[in-house]
Formats: sequence, C-alpha cells, structure tokens
Amino acid sequence: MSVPFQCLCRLGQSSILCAAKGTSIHTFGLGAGSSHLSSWTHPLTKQDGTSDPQATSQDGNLNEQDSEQPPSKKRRLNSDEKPNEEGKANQGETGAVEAPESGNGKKKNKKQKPESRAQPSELPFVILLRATEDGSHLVAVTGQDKTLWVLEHDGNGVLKELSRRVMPKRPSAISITADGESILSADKFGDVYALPLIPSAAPEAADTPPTPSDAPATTTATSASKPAASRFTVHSKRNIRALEEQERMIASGKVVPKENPKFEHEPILGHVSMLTALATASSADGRPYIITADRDEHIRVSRGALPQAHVVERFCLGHGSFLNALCVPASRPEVLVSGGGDDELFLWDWMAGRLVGKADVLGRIRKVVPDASKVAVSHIYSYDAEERCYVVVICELVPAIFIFQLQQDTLEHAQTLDLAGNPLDATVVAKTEGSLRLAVAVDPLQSAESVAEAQGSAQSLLLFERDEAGSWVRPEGVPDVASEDLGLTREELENILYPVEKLRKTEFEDDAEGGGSARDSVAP
Amino acid sequence: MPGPTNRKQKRLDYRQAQKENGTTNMPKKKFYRQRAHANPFSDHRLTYPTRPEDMDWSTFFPAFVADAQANELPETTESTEALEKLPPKKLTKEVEVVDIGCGFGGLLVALSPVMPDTLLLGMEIRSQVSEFVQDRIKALRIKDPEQKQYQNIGCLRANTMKFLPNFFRKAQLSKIFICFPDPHFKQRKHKARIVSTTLNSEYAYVLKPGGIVYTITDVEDLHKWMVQHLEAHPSFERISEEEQEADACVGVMRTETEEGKKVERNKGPKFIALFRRLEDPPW
Repeated sequence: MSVPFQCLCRLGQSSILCAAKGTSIHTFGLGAGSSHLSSWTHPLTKQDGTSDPQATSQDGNLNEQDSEQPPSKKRRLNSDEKPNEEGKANQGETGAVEAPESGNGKKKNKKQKPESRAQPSELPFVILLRATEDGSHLVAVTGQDKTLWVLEHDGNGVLKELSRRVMPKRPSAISITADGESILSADKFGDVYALPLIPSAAPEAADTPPTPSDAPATTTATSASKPAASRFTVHSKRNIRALEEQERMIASGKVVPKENPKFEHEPILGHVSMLTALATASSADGRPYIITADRDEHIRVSRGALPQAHVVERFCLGHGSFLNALCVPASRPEVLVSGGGDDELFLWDWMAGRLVGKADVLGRIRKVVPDASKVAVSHIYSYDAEERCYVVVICELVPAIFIFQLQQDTLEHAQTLDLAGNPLDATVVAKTEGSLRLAVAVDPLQSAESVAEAQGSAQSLLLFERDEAGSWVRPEGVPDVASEDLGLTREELENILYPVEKLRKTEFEDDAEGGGSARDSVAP
Repeated sequence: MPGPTNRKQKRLDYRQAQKENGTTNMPKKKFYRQRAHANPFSDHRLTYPTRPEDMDWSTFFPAFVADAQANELPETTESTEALEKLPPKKLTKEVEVVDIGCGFGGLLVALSPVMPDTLLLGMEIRSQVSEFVQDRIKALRIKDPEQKQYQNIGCLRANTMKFLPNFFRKAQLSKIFICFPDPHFKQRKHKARIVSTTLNSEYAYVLKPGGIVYTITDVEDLHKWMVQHLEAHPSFERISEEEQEADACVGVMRTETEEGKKVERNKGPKFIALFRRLEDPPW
C-alpha cells in the first residue's frame, strides 16, 4: 500500500519544501505552482532485496568515515522476509504471548532479544526532519535504525548525503543550535547529545566520548578485569553461581566491552525519564538555554552552552500527563507552549518557570470528533503573519489542525482547519514576498465516504493559502510522487505513524509485589 | 511452609490488626517483605505532587504544622482534586535532609535525635518497605510519653530518579544520603544506578550550595563509580577524609542502617565518600 507524507520541513526562507514519505525525502519547489525537485532515499530501501547499506548508498560519494560506521542494526528488509512479517502483523498483538517465555513477562526483555520480538519489524521511516536556519543543511532521523543523517541542500532543492551517524539509542527529538554548528539529539533513554553538524574529518577513534551513564567508568581498566560483585556482596546461591560464571567468562577473555559510536557525540544532559521533546531558546539577555520535556510530565530548563549544560536552572511543572511537544515562538522567545497527553496546551514564562495560562484542546477536538475523550498532541509550531504570532497544533488521530493566536498571556483559538484525513505534520512556507502557505501532510482516511467531497480528497500533501482574515483556505494538492510498495500492512503503518498515544501511562508494574493495598496515597 | 495465599492472608490480618489497635506495637518486618530490587524505569503506581508547592507535608510532620487548627481536621486520604483545590497546609520548616532509598528506616530513626530541629525524609521506591517505615515512625511517636520524639522524620514512597524535583524546590536540601544503593552489577543496568552524571545534575539542583551528598556502600566497584561520577561532576567536590570523619552523620550512617548492620555481621568492607555542592559558575 502507498504511504503518506509524514514529516515536513521548510528549507530556510526559500519556497522549497522538504517532505518525507516513508523512507524517502522529497523536495518541492512551491514558488509558482508546485513541482517535485529531487529526492533522497534511505539506502536500505532504495533497492529491494539488498541488505548492504554501503552498496546502495546514494551517489557513491560517501565520506571515508562513513564506511567505518557500524552498519545499522536490526535491518530486516530482505524481500523474502516480507511475507512472513505480514503474516505476523495479522496476528497483531497476540504475538506477544510468546514473549513472556523469553523473560519474566516484563516488557523490557524484548529489548535484549530482538529475535524473539513478536512485533512486526519496522522500516527505517524518517521520523524527524530539521533544517538549519539558512536552509543549507537538513538533518533527518530514521527511527528503526537509530540513524541521524545530514544532507546538504544546494539551494535549489537538490539534497546530497553528507554523513550518517548511528546513535546509541533512537533519537526522539532533535534541534539545531542557533549558530547552526551543532545538532542536539534527545533519545528515548533520556540523554541529550551534542553532535557537530559536519562531523570532524578525522574522528578520534581511540578516545570516543562515552555515554553519560558510564562516562568515567570506562576509563578504569579494573571494571573489565574483575566482576563488580564480590563474595561480600552476594549471598544467595543463585547470585554466587552467577558470580562464578562471570569470573569464568572474564578469565576466558570472552567479555568484549561494548563499543561506543566512533564519532564525536558529547553527552550534555539527561533525564531518567524518556525524553519526548527538545527546544532551544535564548533569554532576553541573549543567553542560550536548552528546554527538554519528558514522559513523566517534566519540562526542564538547562543552561544551553556546553561546559555548563549540567546546570539545571529550573523546572516548569504543572502537566498532569506525558509531554510530547514544545514550541518557543521565534517572535516571542520568552514564551513556551507545551502539550502532550493533557486536555490543554500550557503557556509558560519559561525563564521564571511560571505557568501563565492554559488553552483548551479537548473541547476543540470534540467539535471535530464528538466522542473524543483524550488528547495526544503530536506537534506544536509557530508562525508569524502580519505582526501576529500564531501557533499550529496537531493532535494525533484528529482530522483537523488547530490554529491559535498567541496574545499577551493567552492562546486564543483562531481556526479549526478540517481535513480529509489525520494530519501528520505541518509547516508554514513562504510563497513569495510576504505571502505564506501552510503545507500539511495528511494520512488520507481509508474508507470514509466523505473523502470525495472533503477538501483535497485523497491527497497526502496539501497547501493552504491565507485569506484576508488570516484563515487558511483553498487547499491545493501537491502532485504525489510515486513510491515503491514498502510491503506494509495498514496496521504496521499506523504503528509507525501514530506513536504519541502510546506514551500514556496505562500499565503499572506493581502491586503484584504484594501491595494492592488500599493506600495508594503517599500519606502515611 | 505456608503457601503464598496463606502468607498474603496473614499479612492482611496483621495490617488490619495494626490499624485497629492504633499501632502501639512496633511493626514486624516479616509482614512487609518485598524483593530487594525495583525497576526505576517502569511506571509504578506512584503518587507525587505536580509541583513542590502542591505537596502536603502536614500528614508526615504533624508536629510542625504552622497553622494551629490544622491538627483538628480529619485525616483523609487526599484525592488529587482536593490537592488542587486547597493549598496544602504549611509547615514551620521545610524538609532539609533526604535519605534516598531509605530501606527499613534505620538511618532516619538514628538521625532523628542527632538533628532534632531538622526535618528528615526517607524516600523508598518499594511500597511495602515504605509502609513499614511509616508504621515504624508512627509506633515510635506513640511510644514516647511526651509525644516529642521522632516528630521530625517521615517516609514516603517515591521514585527519586524520576520525581525528585516534584518534591523539592531548587536549593531546598542541605543533605542527601545515599546508603547501600542497589549496585546494579551488570553493565547494561548501569543507567539504573542512583549515581550518574545526569542524575547528579538533579541532586545539584535540589541541594543548596554547601550541601552534602553522603554515600556509603559495601561494593568497592560501586564506590569507585560513585566517586568518579560525583568528582567528575562540575557541581560537586569530594570532602576530605578528615572532615568526613568529623561529621557526626558519618558515624551514624556507618553503623545504623539495616544494610550496614548486615555488612557488619558478614564482616564486609564499607566505603564512604562525601561530596559538597559547589556554587554554580557565573552565567
């Protein structure tokens, strides 16, 4: 089945739009009419049936260092495997029944044993796209193989792959620093890394920056030569046996320390919770800050320059559910808009850590989806038009886009833009001097009869124009580009395109431990 | 040997009896046993305030409630809505000392008379164990004829690795104790250790400059790990051995935790290290 566009990005101030569709990235010129300019495809999916990423990489002009990179893990894209996967997908979640046998029935065990993972394998979809301020470089993240790609843009829509870096964990949010020199990458493990946009020519292979959690430990040789436990610290029969086993393994020299990626990536800060959003901002006096948000309702403001990024300036606390999106409008840098699993958007004075106001989203959603009961904000963006600042909000599985106007201390609803499918991403692109267009990536509804009459019908990439009143109107489809069949079922595709609601906490690993008690309160 | 259901029933009966006779007896550990490890990354059914201002400390430190009439209010398990509606009762002082992973509360109980005018809080992720400490404190308070002792200690269930900033303001604490933490021997589990570069930044956030992190463990490797990570962190410096041994809390920490006593019995080694929170560099 064909896949929709899922990520959009504007290339600098130009009228060139960058759109990711499945594992490919396409550029479109929107100046006069809209035309497809060029495309880049993840090397793994470029040619079906090949599994060697080097053999198929674009242009064949990879840097030398690229070939030194470890190949992406867990690639299962061989054509002969696909039917198999589809079969699994039909079983859906029932496949999980097999899992407990490989562990203690805990979710985490899946990670260690990718082979026994019952979930269908995922394609390396582009999950994040960011361009530098001037539009000269594009950073893309493909999720399944945890890879961060940097593409160079020639100003006319042509993309050239510069580097690929496989991160230690799947990036969940990226940002480019104001100077355009570094990429900040936040991951599911809670760490934020700073990477140079252009990797230094000679990577220091020997002395790679380790991950934050085990930073100084790797410098001590002792940890590798003897187990961390000793007879004093383990007492049970099983633990003693495990210790003996460890000692044997070390004696036989079979223990290979885990290798860190061989490129410059400096851990700068981290949460224990899963990071879901990242923003950079500057205070009125020009000092940079990094704002991070996690699944456990925290928004943290840290100093944004490297030697001091460990200093946590404050937290913005008030959310009651997971966070998923942050936005600091360019024209109102003192304001932070945040959203996630809560019914409202939160408006912050982030420098003071003060909640300024909230804007209802669930009520707005109910006017589109009457029986909606919860909100999962997937994106928040801002744009300026006629000296006013607007915020664009996309909620997962809601076929509309909500536009709010940012007033002094409030967010006023300005427009609900109904769509013929669920929006996956949006961005505002300059058309000509002063005139803006809103590009929206839509996952067309599958079986609704309303499709035909709805705006834009089954188009996946829509462009709206602004009318005099400032509303987005007159959608126009961008001619779709043909994409090869990625062999995904609808269910697998939805799994990839709609990840936000899964962040909500529903299962608790608890109280099988003997609690289950009436006192769920912290009070004694 | 009683089967699991039998044991559970006994536990329930015991708890019921404890409740009814007003917890005059010290709780028995055997009714609060729980496996020694808890996964800090999974979602436990935790209760925590959204912001430090929302935390109601009055049930933990009733003797320190600022408002005189507050004690008369019936003690109810606060629903989250109630938390939002009523501002929590204020205390005359704030919690200043935290024992992260307080276990069965030995250190808290021993430190209580050492720092009678400071509020000490134990934080423990295992629900059964934190309940034990709560019942233990309750019983200790009742046993004191003058109702004066052990009013300055409290315990709550929390995952400090995730939610420390939900409980404490920036620079609120003066001491953090980390006693015999889970060593997480496997390399893969090192992220779950209670001391790491990224977590140290959070300890620095809640500690006031000059505040101290106390660490003790019987695992040499973990000791080295904690020393390395805290020393390498720009917000901390190690405290000299001389100063360390002069600190009254160190002696208590060495001998009074349950785990410390167990190490004593097994004649194992104990490794201690203290770290001072430095001022943040100018920005």
